Amino acid sequence: MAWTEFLKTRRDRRPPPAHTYIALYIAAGVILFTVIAMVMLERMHEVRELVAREHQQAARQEVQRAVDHSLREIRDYGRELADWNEVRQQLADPSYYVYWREQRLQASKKFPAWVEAIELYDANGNPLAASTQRDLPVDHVPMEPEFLRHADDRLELLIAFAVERPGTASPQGYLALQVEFIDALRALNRFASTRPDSIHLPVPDRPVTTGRLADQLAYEPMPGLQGDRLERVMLHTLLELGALLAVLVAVFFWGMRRLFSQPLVRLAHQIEVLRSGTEGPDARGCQPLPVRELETVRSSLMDYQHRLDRIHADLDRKNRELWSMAHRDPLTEAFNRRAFDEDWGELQRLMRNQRIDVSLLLFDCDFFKAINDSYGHEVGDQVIRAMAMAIREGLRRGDRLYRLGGDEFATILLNTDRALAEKVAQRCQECINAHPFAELGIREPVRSSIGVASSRADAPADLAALPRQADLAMYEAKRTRHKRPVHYHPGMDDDSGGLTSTCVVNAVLEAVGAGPGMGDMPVRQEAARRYGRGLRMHYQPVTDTRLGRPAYYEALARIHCDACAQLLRPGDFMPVLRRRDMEMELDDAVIAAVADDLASGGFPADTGVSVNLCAASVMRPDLVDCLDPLHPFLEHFRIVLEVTETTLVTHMQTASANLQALRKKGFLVALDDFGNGYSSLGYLANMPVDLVKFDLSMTRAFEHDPQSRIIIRGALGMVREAGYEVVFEGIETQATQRHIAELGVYRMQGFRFGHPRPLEQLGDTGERT
Amino acid sequence: MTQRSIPRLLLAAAILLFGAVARSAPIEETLPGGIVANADFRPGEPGRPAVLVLHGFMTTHRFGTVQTLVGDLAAKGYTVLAPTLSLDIPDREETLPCDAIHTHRFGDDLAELDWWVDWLADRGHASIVLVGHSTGSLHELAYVANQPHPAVKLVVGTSLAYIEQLPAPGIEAKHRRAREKRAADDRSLDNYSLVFCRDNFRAPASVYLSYVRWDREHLLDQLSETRVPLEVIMAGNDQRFGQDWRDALADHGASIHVVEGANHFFDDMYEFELLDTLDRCLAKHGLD
Repeated sequence: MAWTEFLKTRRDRRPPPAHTYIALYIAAGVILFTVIAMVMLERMHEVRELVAREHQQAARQEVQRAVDHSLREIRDYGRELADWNEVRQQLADPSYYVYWREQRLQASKKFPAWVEAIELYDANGNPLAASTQRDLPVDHVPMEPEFLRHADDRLELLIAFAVERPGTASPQGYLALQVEFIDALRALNRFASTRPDSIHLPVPDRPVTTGRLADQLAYEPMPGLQGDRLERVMLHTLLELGALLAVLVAVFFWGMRRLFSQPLVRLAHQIEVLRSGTEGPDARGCQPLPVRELETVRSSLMDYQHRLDRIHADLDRKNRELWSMAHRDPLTEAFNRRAFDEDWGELQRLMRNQRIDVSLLLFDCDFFKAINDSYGHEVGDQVIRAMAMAIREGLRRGDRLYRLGGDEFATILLNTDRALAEKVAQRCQECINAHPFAELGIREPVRSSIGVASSRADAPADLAALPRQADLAMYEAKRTRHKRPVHYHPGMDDDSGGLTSTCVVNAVLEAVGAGPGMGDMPVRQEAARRYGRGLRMHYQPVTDTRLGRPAYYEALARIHCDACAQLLRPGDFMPVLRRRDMEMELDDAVIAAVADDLASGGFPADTGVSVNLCAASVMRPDLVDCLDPLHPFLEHFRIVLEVTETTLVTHMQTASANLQALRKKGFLVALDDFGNGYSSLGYLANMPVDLVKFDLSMTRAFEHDPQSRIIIRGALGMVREAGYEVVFEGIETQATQRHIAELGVYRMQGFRFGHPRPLEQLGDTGERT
Repeated sequence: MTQRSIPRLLLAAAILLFGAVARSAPIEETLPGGIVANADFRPGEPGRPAVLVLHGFMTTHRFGTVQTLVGDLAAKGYTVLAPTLSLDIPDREETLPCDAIHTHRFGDDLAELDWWVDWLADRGHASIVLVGHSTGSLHELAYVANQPHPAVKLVVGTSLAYIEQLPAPGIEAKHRRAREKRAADDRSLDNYSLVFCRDNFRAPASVYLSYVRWDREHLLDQLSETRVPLEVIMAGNDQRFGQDWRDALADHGASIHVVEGANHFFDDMYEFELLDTLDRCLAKHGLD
């Protein structure tokens, strides 16, 4: 391998951890100590051998001195004993010698332990006692003054002393000692360099004499500090140092791990955590480190980590805000259409694996556009918020409320069967009805339409159809006068052709203009003209039978569908408009179209025209302005505004104000479809109308039901009494005309007098007078 | 002792010590039984009395109190002889321990005393004063109570003591057995209590009884038998022989001198009082 490659490999290799270096340093220290210890032991061994040689020499000298000293001591002892009074007493009178030798002498302090036997002999050398002790001679004292002999591993010293006779040169007797010399040697000397118990006399190869005794003795040097003992002490010291070093190493290793290695590992771990971002900050990372520099790094790292956490938290919060902005409606805090679509999509995916009962509730505020236009956008927004609030009150905990757009809300009820869904819907309806909308300054009651559609767990195919079914149900609810939630049933599909036919919807929207429904009137009417290309106005005469000619014509809207090549009647397009709350747009388009027809000059003179206004239009605060296009024609044409009695009854106050204002402008107001609505006679006296149009149903009832005839006759009388002009609708036959005429009614409308026709066809034959 | 006498006494002590060392003469003599005995003999001024100073129980003439007397008397010109009773030990030079074997009888001691008095008389001393210490005084009293040498003119007993028997249980029975053994000539050794030996005086019964005979009563009885004047110098603070003993001696006609404060051995400074008293005794009898 090339050198550069080796260096590159070294650089690329991950370096070992900190505790590895600590362990290496400690191992180096231990090895160094071991080498030093071995060198010291070797030196000590050399010193020990040197000391041993010196000690051997010292022991030899010491034994020599001890032998000499012992011989002197023994001789001195013998001489002193021989000079003892009691020795002389025994020699003078040996009567009690045996007792003296056996008892008195033993008890006295004159008999050391190293003396084995003492015997007295008279001047002739005969022992005082018949028997002598030990090996002392019986009959030949004086013997040699000193006699050494080796027997049975013992070195016996026999020594005799003459006892001086007072006053003479001849001895009084003799005293002989028997001493075990080795014992005496040990007892009479203190050995520093020789082991006393090792002193012995090997089997001598020549006679033993006191003069050469030291050379003949064998002995071992005393194991002293200078030799083995010193080595043991040093070895002991090394072992203690080793133990101390081991403890210090352990403490050092522990301290280094505690102070540096573990903190570095923690820091590395923290950095790794920060780098990977796989887990949150380690709790251990918050603990301070014992070393200032490391603590600085740790605290800096923690600060950095905290800043990152704050940034992450800020990002999370902003993400949540973004998600909320993307999925929440800022006005109501309800989830928006996007959230609904996502949740609905997710629900459909989940339902592939798990089947549960699902219900979809759609909410719609009735006449919201009228409210919006009447009270302004701020009030409209408040109504929307209040409605959302009311719906939430009726929902269960955990049910999500979605604002799909405008005044339309929805909620998805999971694990909710049909009955419970209806119950929830009813509770929402009650909450909406009970909400104090009057506090917002709205004079009319705010009502809502609620459509409910449910999907059973065992019929998952129904889930995709729920939105449409709920839509149909809500439309049905909107059509009913008694406001309560309507649950979808399959029969609604038959009435929903207009709602589902794309070509019809397109044609209707194009006719009434899908443009701005709000804003300045000229803009709206211009939009109505621009989009109202498919709108075709037909006029049906309201005939004055006394004059025999039409008093005015009721403008009836028709929409031509180019795609389906047919002329759509109100029954075809009104559901579409009602579903989209575009009835006002239709009114605007109709007003524009009628104004155009009046301006065209093709309208029969000395007649007039009646225009139907929806309830929302009647309540709009700018109704007078809305009818500006017709103002120029009031001077030459009778212009009647037809409103339904339901509109008047439910929005009496606002409607009355608007209609009164229009009446002052010269418009006539007709109460349309009288008898098909509330028909409350109580309202009849106060309604701001000029005409009352009896509904087709009243006409038919008058013809076929005698009982109803009586009532109708009475109602007619009261209407006349109130001063209203009367128009009967649904006059289709001559007999009916005659019967109605018999009631004194001279204004009639129906196929008897003419079908609705375009302006170009007015005045054609076929119109009856 | 007064404060003024201390310097004088110190000077006298120095003179005594010098004189004693300078003129001391140990002698050895073979006694009639063949035993060699030694003595401290210090010749004095011619014509002056000779003084024989005898030691106490089993001690020697080297005993401190004896040496004090010997030195003082020799320094004053007296011929002084201080023998050591042999106690059957040739050339005895040491105090005999209690547990040594004792074969010497009281009478043997008197015989050796008599021999030494004769030894002085044989050397021309016509006036001999016997000075004893403790039982040495007893020996001398016993000696003069029995046929003393005519040259003996005066006996001065210091700390005169009788053979004291320490109280011990069964002492009477022990005496009875001792007498029986003596009668049977049984010479076996036994342990006895005698003077300061407590049941370790190792001796045959005859030896023991020879000493025991000289008890308090026997001594007092012998006072009247003395044919030589007797002066007794007692220590005022003697723990063993106190006021009662002094009174008894006085009651039996002894001339008592008391060195107040001194113990049995007249130790310390009381030896000078002893010497002064001795001087007075000698002067009293014209033997100074």
